[in-house]
Amino acid sequence: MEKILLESKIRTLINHAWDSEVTWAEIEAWLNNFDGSFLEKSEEQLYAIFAISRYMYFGKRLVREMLKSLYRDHFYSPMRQRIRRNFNGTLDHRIIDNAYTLELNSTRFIGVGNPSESGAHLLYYFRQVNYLSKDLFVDLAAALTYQVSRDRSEILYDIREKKITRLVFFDDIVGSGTQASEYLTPYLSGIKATNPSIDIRFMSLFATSAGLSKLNESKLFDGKAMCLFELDDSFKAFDADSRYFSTSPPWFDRQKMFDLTEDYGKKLWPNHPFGYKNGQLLISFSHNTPDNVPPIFWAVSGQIPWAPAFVRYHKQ
Amino acid sequence: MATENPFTLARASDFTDKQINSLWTELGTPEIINTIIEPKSRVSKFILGGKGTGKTHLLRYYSYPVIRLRSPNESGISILKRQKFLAVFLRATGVDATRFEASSGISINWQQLFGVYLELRLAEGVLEALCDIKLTSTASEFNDDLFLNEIKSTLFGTGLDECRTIHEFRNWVILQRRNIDEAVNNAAFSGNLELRAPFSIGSLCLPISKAMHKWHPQLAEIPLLYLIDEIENFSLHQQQVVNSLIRYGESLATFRVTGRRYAIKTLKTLADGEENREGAEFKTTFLDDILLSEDIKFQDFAKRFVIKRLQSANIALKPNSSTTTGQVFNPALCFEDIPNSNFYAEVIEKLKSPSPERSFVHSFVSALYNATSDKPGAQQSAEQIAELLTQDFPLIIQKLNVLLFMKKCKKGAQPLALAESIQADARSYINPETRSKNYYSNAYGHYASDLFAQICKEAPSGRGVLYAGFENFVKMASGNPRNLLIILGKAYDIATFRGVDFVSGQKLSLELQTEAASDSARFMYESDTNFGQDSDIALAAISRLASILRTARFSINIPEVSPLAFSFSDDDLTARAKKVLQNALNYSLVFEMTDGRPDRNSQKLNRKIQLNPLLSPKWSLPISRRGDISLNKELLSAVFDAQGSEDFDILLKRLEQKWNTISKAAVDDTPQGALF
Amino acid sequence: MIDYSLFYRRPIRTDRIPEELQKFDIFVSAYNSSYRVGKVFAEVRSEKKIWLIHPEYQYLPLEYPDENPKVCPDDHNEIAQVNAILEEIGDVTDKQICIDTTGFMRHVLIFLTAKLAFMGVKEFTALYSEPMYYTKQEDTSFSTATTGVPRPVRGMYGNKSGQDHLIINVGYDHKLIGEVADNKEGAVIYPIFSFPSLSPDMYQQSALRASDGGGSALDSAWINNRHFAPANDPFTTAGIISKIVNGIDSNVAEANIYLSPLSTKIQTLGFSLYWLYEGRPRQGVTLLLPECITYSRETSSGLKRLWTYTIEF
Repeated sequence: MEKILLESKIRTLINHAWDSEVTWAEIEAWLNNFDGSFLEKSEEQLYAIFAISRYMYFGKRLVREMLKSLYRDHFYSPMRQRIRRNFNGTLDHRIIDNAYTLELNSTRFIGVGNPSESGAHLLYYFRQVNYLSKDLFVDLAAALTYQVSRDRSEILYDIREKKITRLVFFDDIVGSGTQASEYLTPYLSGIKATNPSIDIRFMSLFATSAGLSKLNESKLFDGKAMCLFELDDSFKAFDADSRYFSTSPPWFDRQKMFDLTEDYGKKLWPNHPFGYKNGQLLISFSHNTPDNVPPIFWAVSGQIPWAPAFVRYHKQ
Repeated sequence: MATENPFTLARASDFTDKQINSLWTELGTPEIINTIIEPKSRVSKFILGGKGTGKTHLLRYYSYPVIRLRSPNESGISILKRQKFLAVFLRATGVDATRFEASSGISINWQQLFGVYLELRLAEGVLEALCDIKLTSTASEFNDDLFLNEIKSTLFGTGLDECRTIHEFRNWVILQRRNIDEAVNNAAFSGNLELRAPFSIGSLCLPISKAMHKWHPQLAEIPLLYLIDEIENFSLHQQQVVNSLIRYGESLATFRVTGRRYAIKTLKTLADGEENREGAEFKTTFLDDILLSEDIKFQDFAKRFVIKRLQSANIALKPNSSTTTGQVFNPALCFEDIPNSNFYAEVIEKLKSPSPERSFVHSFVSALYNATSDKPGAQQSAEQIAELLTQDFPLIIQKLNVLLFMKKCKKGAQPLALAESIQADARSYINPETRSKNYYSNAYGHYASDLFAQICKEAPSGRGVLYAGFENFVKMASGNPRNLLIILGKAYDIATFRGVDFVSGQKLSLELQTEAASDSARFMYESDTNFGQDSDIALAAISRLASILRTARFSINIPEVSPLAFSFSDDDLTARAKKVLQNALNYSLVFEMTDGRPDRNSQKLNRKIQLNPLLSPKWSLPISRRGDISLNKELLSAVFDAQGSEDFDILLKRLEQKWNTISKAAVDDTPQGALF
Repeated sequence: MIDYSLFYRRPIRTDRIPEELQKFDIFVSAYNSSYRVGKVFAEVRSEKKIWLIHPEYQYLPLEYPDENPKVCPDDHNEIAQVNAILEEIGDVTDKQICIDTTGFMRHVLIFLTAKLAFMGVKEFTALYSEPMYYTKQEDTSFSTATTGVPRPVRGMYGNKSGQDHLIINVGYDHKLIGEVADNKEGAVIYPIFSFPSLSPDMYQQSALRASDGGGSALDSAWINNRHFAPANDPFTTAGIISKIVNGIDSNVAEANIYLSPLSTKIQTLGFSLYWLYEGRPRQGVTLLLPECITYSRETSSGLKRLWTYTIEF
């Protein structure tokens, strides 16, 4: 009976919260992955379907809304308020619009990672939903020039276009922050050295608290990294304070869920059965599932046959 | 993007005037519809019914704008000549009448102000229709002067003299209304209401009828009808205004007013004046009762209704059954029926029943043992009896045998002999050749569905009691088209979700139909009964009531066949309980069955109330009633009087015990002394 | 055209409330026994601080907060409650007023905002606090009960002759949503969901609960007409309403608009602002709410973020 109640809940989730982007056929195929290798098959599937009922999925419409909000509420609005303040609280649109246009035109939005990665991919939609000119978007290579330092010990990066006063880096989700940190540190230190007054910021849709802290270190964004949604430890599925499993029905045994995730997970991504760096996140977007999510949710057939619940385009 | 469900609840109010015309389905014969509205009658009517009984639909169908849409090319005058009445529609919620309730600090006569406002709205509707008539009847002679002279005599206010045409007058009316809106708004902030009413109550919406008669020769005899929808949204004092208009309107205009069953708050007229009387100033019709009556062949209506909905959604209907007139589409065939042949063998097989422990037998043996424990060999006796009753029988027969044993095990009966006799009757019944019409076959006919429900519930896998079959869904709708839409809408959603096309492809399975029925019950209980505190309390009471019925259905000694109803004496209700029960009736959570005649012997008023079968799946209850559970004073209180609910659990446990045990006295088989 | 991006709003560090917020002349807060409402009340600097004890929360005198003055209206009606507040406040000319919206009953907050505008107040500061956690409401004796008939907020009614449209800001209470939607059966419905929400799982929760919001939630319009506005931003919310209404007006003549803010308190303030800035001039816009007899006391813990907004007229 619990299984039936959960199926009904998932139907409501899919129709009302997930914009029907996930189909029952996909969920059913995914449930059949759990064939009783570790517990009794029906029990495994019950745990699996319960996990789906707690999962967070953000469909296309929501992703676009997040991109809209990021620009409108965290770039556009604050900047215009600042301009207004600088002009003594004027409500004259022309003055503000002009000043804003100047600021915007000297800003460049850059995706973290190479152009084919999801951060950059989302920038396309970011531009679209906010009706921004493509001139405001560059990739890192196009934006920078470099020189080798006098003592030949390091490469100093500088901005190609001199009128640029602001760089906004962008990614969809920040996990531990190591990838972004490794990728960006060399560029940022160089740029800051040659352009001390430049405004360098970072925006993402999601970030773990740890990742955000890392990005806000002085050698990176020095406090100017923000995200729309911060994921603290309560968003880790098996954390003591996990919000996913803190209120669960009487039959639910957290240890069993843990074991199941680990046992099947090891078959799929041996070193990271709970997601990259033990991410334990239960989040997907319509365009991708981050690798901080346990592989049981997104793996495709490889070592063993496997149907994913949520799609991830995994980097090999 | 969500696609359209052909069974969407789109309420009649949602329909554009155009859609009402195209989706109109005759509820029965045209005569029945006319007897509800009676457009030509000069007596006002209240048409009351639950949600979804089609009241708004009926009203709007008769309103001028919708009639006009049915004949787009005809002139207004010609339409009226044909129809022989002019009806104007106003939705009570559209007036937002709560604004006109006495509020802090502003002391004016709110009732009067509301009355004036209401008349302005009604008059607006009339004038809109008249303007359309004038516009579309160019060949005719309309005398605006005569009209205006007639109506102006009872009105006053700026700008009235400047009105020369009916259009200008309409604008004047609208302006008066806006003035009131503005003044009421401002009063909230300023604490003062500055307004001069342009007329006194009864001076606009009634005389306008006279003016209309003078406006054009062909309109001289045309009665004016005001259709007001959902009158429960007017307060008691506001309803007094409507009652006054009804009382004094007789020859000038009549009213057709709809509302929920509980909509009428008073029959008094203005300033607590005289009361209108049923049969004199007005008549009342209860739509639910008409729909539940034999005249409306709801099963047939349901099929036509479904076909119409599917066609409107442009869904191709493949013929699936042959009749004398050829191949037709029968919606009933899209739904699997529960196969009850061969003692429900097919379904029971799928459920992998019985569970190895066969818990009901175990309970029976316990009950029997407990009743006979002081006798030697009681355990063996009990087991032996159980075996006699159950061995080598289909599961449902086993259960029936146990049930019959419990019923027949009274003082004087010999348990062993009784078991043997039931066994023999059962054997004789199972074999189609030896089956005859006797108490056993009757018992099977009565109890089979309850026993099958028990089997479904006891099965470890499976989804509990099954609800399936088009006919059953129609039964659950209880003559209410909206209820039918709820179930079918859920079925469609679920089928789409699972990738099943039950309209053209395979039939909808028993499991998915049951899911739809459960969802519908949940919908009615959780989402659809939103009338504030009163409905919250009523829902809680119904939940307690339903758990009694459920306990009954799933006991070894089922007290009444198909328990869906309960009976009691009206005197046993406390005042508070009465109110809660009345609310439950008002919100259609339960229906009343009796005609309210007092018991012949005791002269007490016995009442019989049944649960709305749409809710049945929530508690695994049957969808049609047969017997009824009798509730005493104590139980009534515990169920309907919220304060007594702590006792409820205790009382329920007692009932459970009563229905699952055998009393010691019953199995006392000590000889009574020679009888023969 | 109002440019909602120009209104001032910013977060306040929860450990530096006295430092980051200016000193006010008058501070009003509605008591709801939550930690954050109490903490903000204690730390805001103001010449005069007033507690509003809403009758709907059913507080007994021994549950009242210690500080005075306290305004304790008996009448639930928004005019009565606002009059009581204003009487305690006294003269508002040239006063710096601050209102913590967090614990306010929606109809009172809406009407208070409009009344201040009506009285000629040019500007006031609104605060909104978010908790660390919302805990499940277990105690049913303090639940929300309504009369069952929603009504317009007094003084904030408009009417146009065309098709009814209902713009609902969807929160967590499916019963309130259902009550309003059922009352305005036949209206074209535009649900505004609070997104970005205060925390990432809240949208999904809200969508799930709202699916129980009666017949309207069964309709495809419930999914297709969905709009979004940030949970903690009244100005952007007002801007979204503006966009929706403009969209309606370009397609439908004389549309009759009902606004029902049933989500966060600060978004409710945004609805009131929209009505004042654009709804009233446009005409035909009404603020519609269920009428609450009692209201559930929210159970939450901690203070996660505090926001300040400059409301200008």
